[in-house]
Amino acid sequence: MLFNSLDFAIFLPIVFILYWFVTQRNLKWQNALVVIASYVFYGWWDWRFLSLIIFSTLVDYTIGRKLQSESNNSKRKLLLWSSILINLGFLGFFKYYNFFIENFVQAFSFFGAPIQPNTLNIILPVGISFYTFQTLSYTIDVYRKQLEPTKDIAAFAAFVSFFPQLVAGPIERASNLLPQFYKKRHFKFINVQFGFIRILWGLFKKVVIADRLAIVVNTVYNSPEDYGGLHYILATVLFAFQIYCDFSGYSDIAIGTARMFGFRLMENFRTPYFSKSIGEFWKRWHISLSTWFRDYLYIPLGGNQVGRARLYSNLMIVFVVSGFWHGAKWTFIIWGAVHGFILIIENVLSKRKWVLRNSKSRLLGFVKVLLIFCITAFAWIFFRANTTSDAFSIASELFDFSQSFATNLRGMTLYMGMPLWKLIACFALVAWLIIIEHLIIKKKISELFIIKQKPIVRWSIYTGLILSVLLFGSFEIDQFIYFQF
Amino acid sequence: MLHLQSDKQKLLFYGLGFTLFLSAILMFTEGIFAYFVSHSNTEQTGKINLVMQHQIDTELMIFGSSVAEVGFDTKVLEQDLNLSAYNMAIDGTPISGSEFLTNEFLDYTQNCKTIVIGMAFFSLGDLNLMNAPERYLAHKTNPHVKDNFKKISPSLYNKLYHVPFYSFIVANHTYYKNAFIGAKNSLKNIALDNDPLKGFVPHYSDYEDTRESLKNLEAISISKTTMETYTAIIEKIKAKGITPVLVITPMYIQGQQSFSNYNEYLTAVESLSEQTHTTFFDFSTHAIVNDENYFYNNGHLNASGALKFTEAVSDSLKIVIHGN
Repeated sequence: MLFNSLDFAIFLPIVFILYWFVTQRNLKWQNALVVIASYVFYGWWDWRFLSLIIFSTLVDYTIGRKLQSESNNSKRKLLLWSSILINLGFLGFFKYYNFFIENFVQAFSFFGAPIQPNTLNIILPVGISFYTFQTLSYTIDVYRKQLEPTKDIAAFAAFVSFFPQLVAGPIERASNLLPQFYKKRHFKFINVQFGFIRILWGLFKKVVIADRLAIVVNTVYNSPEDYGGLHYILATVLFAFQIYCDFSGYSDIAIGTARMFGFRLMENFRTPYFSKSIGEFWKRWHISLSTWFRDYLYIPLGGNQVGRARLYSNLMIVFVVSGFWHGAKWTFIIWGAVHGFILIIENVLSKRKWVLRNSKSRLLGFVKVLLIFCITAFAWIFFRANTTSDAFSIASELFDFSQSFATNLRGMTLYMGMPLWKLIACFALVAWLIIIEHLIIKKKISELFIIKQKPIVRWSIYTGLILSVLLFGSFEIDQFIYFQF
Repeated sequence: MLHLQSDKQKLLFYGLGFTLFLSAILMFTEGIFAYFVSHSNTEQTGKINLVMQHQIDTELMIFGSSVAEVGFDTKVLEQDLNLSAYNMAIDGTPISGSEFLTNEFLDYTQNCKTIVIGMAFFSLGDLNLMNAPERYLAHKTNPHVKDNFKKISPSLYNKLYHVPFYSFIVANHTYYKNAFIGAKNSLKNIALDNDPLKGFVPHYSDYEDTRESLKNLEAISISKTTMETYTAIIEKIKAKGITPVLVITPMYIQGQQSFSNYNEYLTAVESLSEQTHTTFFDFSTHAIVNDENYFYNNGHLNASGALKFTEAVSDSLKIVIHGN
């Protein structure tokens, strides 16, 4: 079920009413309702893959219990690895099987030993990368004795399948989300208000901004051979905002929905395009994934408590794996590697005095923000391109302005088969987003600011957002980008 | 001062209040857009508005899809036949898909004597999708429009008529553009019927072969349900005392040859005319179909082709209308 669908618009109020008005007196009933609702939410897409979630839930619940009762270290390790192998086994099969087979075949052919490929027609279960990492974090935390394993199967099943964040995160830690299922939730009107405004803002970002920008981006990226440098720059800059609005919009809806049910999910984005370094960017972009990799991969590899060479290789490993997590394509791996490489350079440069790390100059700050945006936008080329050859051809011809059609903006848009006003509208939306984000950073606006207003002002803001979604939203592209991961 | 004790009371009070507030705003917005769109006089929406607002009542009316829209030069027909005429063909929509237009027209017409139904190779195919529904959105409360949605696209019908404010989802920039045009027309008191070409849309481009492959012959679909729809439309026309005329519009010869069963389509139209005792003119073998200079693609005539074709149609229609 998609957040931006009619189905969800019917589903959410029904579950909300049942949750707060029917099952509220009994915590177990309430948790059971969350599980059932989550399974319905997921099964709406394809009920067959519910078995994977249920199996994952049972495996990690059982292993968690056994880890607590087992004192023998090697047996505990065996239990941990069983969970890792089972979870990553599913992920590997559904997401990476064909990728590995195809690449093996290519490698063998390259060395003069062609073999017959045996790829399978595998459907990628929606959200498998997200819930797999979420359950893994539970087992690893229990193994590390950082978390008490749960005895409450319903609470655990609700934690694994919690519908607001099931298919595209934020990837919650058991230590944050699971205890919230143990405690009785109390209905607070302010939570509903907070959740509602967050959902509306998320929907606005997705339907009005991301999906509008997607039209331009898809036109160029789906047939890059027809376009040139200026179009690539235009499409890439717009894609940077498209993916941000798409994914952060999803996270906003997830956080807002969870809040309506009395849950607090972690923030997944903190205005990442205002970052002054790549390191800072990754503290503000897809926070739940970057902290997951930090805690469960980077630190176990030695983190920054190792020599310089090892540190750099650790950074590269983490970013390549992070890229691979996004999808079984070389483009994602290269995207991760580009980020890893830039982070290493940043790390090297940070030791130099001339870098002016702590300068308070606003101009320098602005230049840094712009530079980091350009770097991340460049890396997005690899993320968005359909193939590696497309990506390299776009990246290499980015500054080739020799095309005859690119003499002016109108000519460019006409060549793309769209009127100029559509492009102007895209930039107006981006400008609008930047202003709002800037005001959020400056703490001039927040959900609380809106909630504190008089009802008529509040309602006008809600209505304004709803009308914007209905009037200016694009309902042609409905899928969220991160659903494919 | 209202004192709400619990948070749940607050939810109910403010939730209900906001729902009413929002519904009122959305209803007003939906209504105002529909009102203005129904006053637009441009393109297909403008044509539809003419019928839906009962602003057109000519002696000769042409219904059909884009093939008829670009093929029947209304001014030529008016001059040759000495009567009032209008080309009410809607692009992308054979009359089986815009049945509401003929039904609405038949409900109010006083002057119409002849209705020409322009047939193209796709006219008899199955129709399960409303093309460009935003064109009809402003008139969704009209019973004929409602029936049309229900018949062709039941899932869209269910959403549009049972989900509050779903028309906002169906509406697109064409709809809003028409709303602005309609608003301007309303302010300046511009009449809907101000198209000098009377619904005819000439194309001045050169011929371009739009077939994807020369080797793979496509098959024309002929649906029993669509045939029944045409029969019903023709019967209604006749019941109103109006003469229906079926016209097979010219298709460029290479286009005809790209179908494996073009003759089946011709036979189907012929049998439709026999069953309903309707006059039928077949221009599929007219000399025009052999000359690419009269077409801008395989199925559509360009402006000079339209002139040539309309002159030929006029000659045929003279017999039906004036008996000579």
